[in-house]
Amino acid sequence: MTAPASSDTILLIEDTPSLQMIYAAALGRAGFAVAACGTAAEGMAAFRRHKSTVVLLDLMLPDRSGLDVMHDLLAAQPQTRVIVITANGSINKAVEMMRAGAHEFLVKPFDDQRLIAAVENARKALRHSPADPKGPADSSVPAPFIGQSRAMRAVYAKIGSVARSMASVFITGESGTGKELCAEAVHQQSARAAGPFIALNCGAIPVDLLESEVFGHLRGSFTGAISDKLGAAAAADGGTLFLDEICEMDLNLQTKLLRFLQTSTITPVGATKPRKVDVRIICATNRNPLEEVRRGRFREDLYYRLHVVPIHLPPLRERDDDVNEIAERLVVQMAREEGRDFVGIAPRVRDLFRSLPWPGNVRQLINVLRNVVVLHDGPMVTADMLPPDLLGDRPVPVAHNGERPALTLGDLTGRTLAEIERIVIEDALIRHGDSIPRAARELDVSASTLYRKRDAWDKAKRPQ
Amino acid sequence: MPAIDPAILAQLFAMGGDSLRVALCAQLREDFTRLHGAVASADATEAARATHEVKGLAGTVGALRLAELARRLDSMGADLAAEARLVLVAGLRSEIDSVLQALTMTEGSFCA
Repeated sequence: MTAPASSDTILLIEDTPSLQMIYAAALGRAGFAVAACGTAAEGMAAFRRHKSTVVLLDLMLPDRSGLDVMHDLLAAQPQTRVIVITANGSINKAVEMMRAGAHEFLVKPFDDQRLIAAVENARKALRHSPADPKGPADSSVPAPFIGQSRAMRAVYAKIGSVARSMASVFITGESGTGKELCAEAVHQQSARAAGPFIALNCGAIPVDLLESEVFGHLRGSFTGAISDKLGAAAAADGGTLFLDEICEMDLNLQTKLLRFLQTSTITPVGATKPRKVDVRIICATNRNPLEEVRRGRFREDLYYRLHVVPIHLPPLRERDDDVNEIAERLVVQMAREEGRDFVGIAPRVRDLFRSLPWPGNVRQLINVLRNVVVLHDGPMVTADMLPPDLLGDRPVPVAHNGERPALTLGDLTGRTLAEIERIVIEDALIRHGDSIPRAARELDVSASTLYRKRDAWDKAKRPQ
Repeated sequence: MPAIDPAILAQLFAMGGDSLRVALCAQLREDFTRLHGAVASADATEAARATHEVKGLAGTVGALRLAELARRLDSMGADLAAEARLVLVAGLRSEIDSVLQALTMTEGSFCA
């Protein structure tokens, strides 16, 4: 069974709950995301939400005739492929439905193979349809993005435009919005796609090692340099270098990066001669880069050098129903990986997902779904399966939820300065879901400072 | 001939793991219980609609005798005399009872 090529959600409108469950399980098992509805009204609402291009439609619905629903579906989106499912197998009925625009007519009972074949045929027909110049609704979504919201469509268009040029791209957006995916999408759509894509997180590497990580070093150039090291810039020669959390980069190294951008040459630590490299730079930050310039933490000349084409990734809460489209796709995928039976998300959970602030964005959604899939079994994700801290308005894990009281001055009294520093830092890390960059921002120190401190605490814990 | 063809039911259960099997079994019992009442409704439209629903559902889950009874009643529709309809509906309901019993036994075998 081939997996669906497009991210389109199959809409299933069937009023018998057990049949709905059977069809959804068969489709989910074949890798399709399914939105299942039991009435015409629910079906039309889901159709507007998902803009599904393949619809499985029962002819006899409690609130309207399936034929009327099909007319509305085709009027709203003529390229829609409607597969009619009915227990009435008369030839007259089949002819009537095909004349009205049905793509296929399935007579109950039918087995899962027949159902999957019908859906796959409908999708194939969509791809080859001359009547649909745009193709399936999500054909312009660069892999592996999911979502059709207006905000993301603008992002996809920008990725498509900028990919063809050599211009530097500066990606901004909250943590977990997919900045690295965006950088990869630009690389994949560019003429450099066959070349390497090298990603480096400037906030995750101690400041004294970062220069060597970016530009490389020669053996013996400093204590511990036991062999030559190819830096990220040289490794990306002919391709793309992605510098994540660029605002965490030390000011001295920013100067060297600027020189590299101006001359397209690198000088590894300990080398005497520069080396020419052909690299496209994409960088990203979850901070406001201009604000960092104003505060003197980011070089203005480097900012203007890098900030040629900005792409801002919207937070998940501003992406309309993308949260549910992503959740539907991922839950089926995770269920396959974990040997579970999930086929979709219950309507109440969909409403809840739309209303949550998602401070950790898609990364948080992925964690929530993984938690659900590992700890529960399907077929639908229901509200009682969700981690209790999700309903709070803090990033996961929530710190002050009763299990861990808020830090007070009394907690610090009688402690040494070093102990107080550690308590405050650890408290900030817990409140920010263990995100060092976010905790660093709150504490107004560089992320590398926190990485260094945590490494020191870890070392102190290990037996000598 | 059993009320539900075990091979067809097994194929459906094979689409997922234990949780799907349990959820589906419970849903089937719920649906057939609802339809058991609805096929005998005094409202002719509701009764016809329920019979049609039984036809599709029974065939899908391998309740082949029930599917055939529902097909017969569904195809005769309004042409059927009231007495004859009563007889056929009684047969249909009795067969739904057998299907429900088979489902209960199947459910019991999960827990065994």
